[in-house]
Amino acid sequence: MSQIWAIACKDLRLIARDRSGLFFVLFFPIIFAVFFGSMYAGDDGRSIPMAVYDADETTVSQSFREALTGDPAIEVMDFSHEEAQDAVRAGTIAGLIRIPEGFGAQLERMGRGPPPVLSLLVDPTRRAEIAMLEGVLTRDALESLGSEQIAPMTIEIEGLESSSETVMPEPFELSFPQGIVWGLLSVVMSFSTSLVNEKTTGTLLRLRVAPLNSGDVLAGKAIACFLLSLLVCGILLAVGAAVFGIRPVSWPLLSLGLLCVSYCMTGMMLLLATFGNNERSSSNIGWSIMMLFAMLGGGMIPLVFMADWMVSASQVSPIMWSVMVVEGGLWRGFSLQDMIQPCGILLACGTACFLLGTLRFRRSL
Amino acid sequence: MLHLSNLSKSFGSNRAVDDLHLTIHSGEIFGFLGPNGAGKSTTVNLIVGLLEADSGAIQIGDGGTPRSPRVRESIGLAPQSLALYDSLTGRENLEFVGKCYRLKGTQLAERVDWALDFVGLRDRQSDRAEAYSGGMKRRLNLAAALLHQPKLLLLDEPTVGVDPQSRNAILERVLDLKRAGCTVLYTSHYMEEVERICDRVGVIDQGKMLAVGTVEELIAEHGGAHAVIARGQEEEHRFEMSSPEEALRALAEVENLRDFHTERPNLESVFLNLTGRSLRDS
Repeated sequence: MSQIWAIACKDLRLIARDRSGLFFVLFFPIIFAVFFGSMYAGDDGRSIPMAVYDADETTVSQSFREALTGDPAIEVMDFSHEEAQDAVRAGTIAGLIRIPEGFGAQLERMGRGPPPVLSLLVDPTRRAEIAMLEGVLTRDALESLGSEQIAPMTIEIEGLESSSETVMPEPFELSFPQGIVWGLLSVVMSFSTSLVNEKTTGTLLRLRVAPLNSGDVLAGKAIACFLLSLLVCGILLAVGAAVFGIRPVSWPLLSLGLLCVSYCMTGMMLLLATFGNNERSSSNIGWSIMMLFAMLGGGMIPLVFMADWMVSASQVSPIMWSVMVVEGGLWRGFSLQDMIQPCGILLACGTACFLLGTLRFRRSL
Repeated sequence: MLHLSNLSKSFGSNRAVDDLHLTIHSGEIFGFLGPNGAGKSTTVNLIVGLLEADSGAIQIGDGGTPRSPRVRESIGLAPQSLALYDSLTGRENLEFVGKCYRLKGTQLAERVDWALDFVGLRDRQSDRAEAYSGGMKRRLNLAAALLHQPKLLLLDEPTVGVDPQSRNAILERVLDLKRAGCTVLYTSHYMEEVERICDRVGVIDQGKMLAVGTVEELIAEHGGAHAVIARGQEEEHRFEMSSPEEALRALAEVENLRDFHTERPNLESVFLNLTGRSLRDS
């Protein structure tokens, strides 16, 4: 074990002395998070899939629902109330429109009493779409009455509810999970190319003639990569908390998520390290694969802007699951049960990559 | 100390090592010569356990295969490529290698100090390896192979690209190791180095050991005759002969003799006689 630890410490020391590498591991993700956080804060949105829960069940409320269904700006999904809440939490739909009891009566009395009230449970990452929704809802409410008169309607917007509090994240809470994932991508690439570098410079030869086996060498690199991944997460969260006021909904679940993401990324590092015969080709192959995963997983372009088939395809991207578990602990208010599936997928992906990488590495010797 | 018997290794149809027999005794420096692609590196890789032989056996010390950790702890390798971490200091490089050989604490510190003193790098121990000259890197490479006090040391072209001072220092250190009882397998293309430090020499080509013996034995057996090169008025004459009388008679027959010198066979002539004069680019 002391030999494995020695390899891990050596790799961390080498990374710490690589200034350009450190920039991409630590500072670039912060720039990324700040940039996209600022963008979220100022965007003007668009929308799409919604669920509708009709607690009023009057003729007017049913007409309103039909108007919503017929509106091309909204895709009304067929969910029960509980399913819809889970779907919003999981980010599958943009929000849930709740039609409260008395809504139909209030709408019919419009202008002669308090304005009708609608409540919207929304996925805060789709803030851009919400602003547009308010206008769409007012228009469809009037359409359900056959009226063209403009009249006020109150729309109460709710964030996701965790067990303890209602969560409406700030823009930087939305962008930091992506920043963390980008930081981890840099860590992965730094370590995967370092293994190739050891091959080309001959230092791997020295390790192989020492009383070590290839598993020890890989374990040492994996530990270093895992620890640096956690360090990067910690630093980014610390910056987020100190500068941007980020406060995770659940530290334990966020920690669980970060452990799973770091584990997955470490496994991917070992697999990527087996591609390419030199640093340049390894880096090119690695970045190409990771960029593809990042693009597909919403790490570059939010999933909401993608076609449905691409959204479905994004489920093969570990990046998508990584962002999900970090958001789950940071602001989505995931329960432990909510975390099981994405964390399980990340652990399975990491383990598969670890095994495949080890096999390929041994064959390459 | 090292015994290779019937050792063979092929890569596809290329037989890199072909039924090799070799015994290296404890405390000797054995020079291992051969043209490029002769099978030297493959043999070294088999000895250190990086490759597995197709057939034959390798016995190092009291036994055990080169892949067993106990045997590996008794072997030191200074590879031709400088196996160093440029971003680490000289001391950090050695400390890391020492930890890989399970050295720790005071023992590790003492061994690192010894190795730095041995190769004359103590005063530069805190500099990063990237700041070292080629000769200093070679010496650090050697130090890394010696930290764990190996009984068998394999040096693969340890003086490539270094200045005469560093080369001399490395050769002196190798002789010091021999005096301390270390067995050394020394691979080089510099014949004068091998002549200077090696007790015995083996010449390998196309995977086969062509000749083994002391430098004197090899020269006597494979070096060819002494030669006298005489320069006359218009042309140069080369006479190969076995006695001074023959040489004198030959010189007397040269018309208008301007000058002459003698050429005695050396290890290079042994090498060329055994392996031929055609270029080996593979």
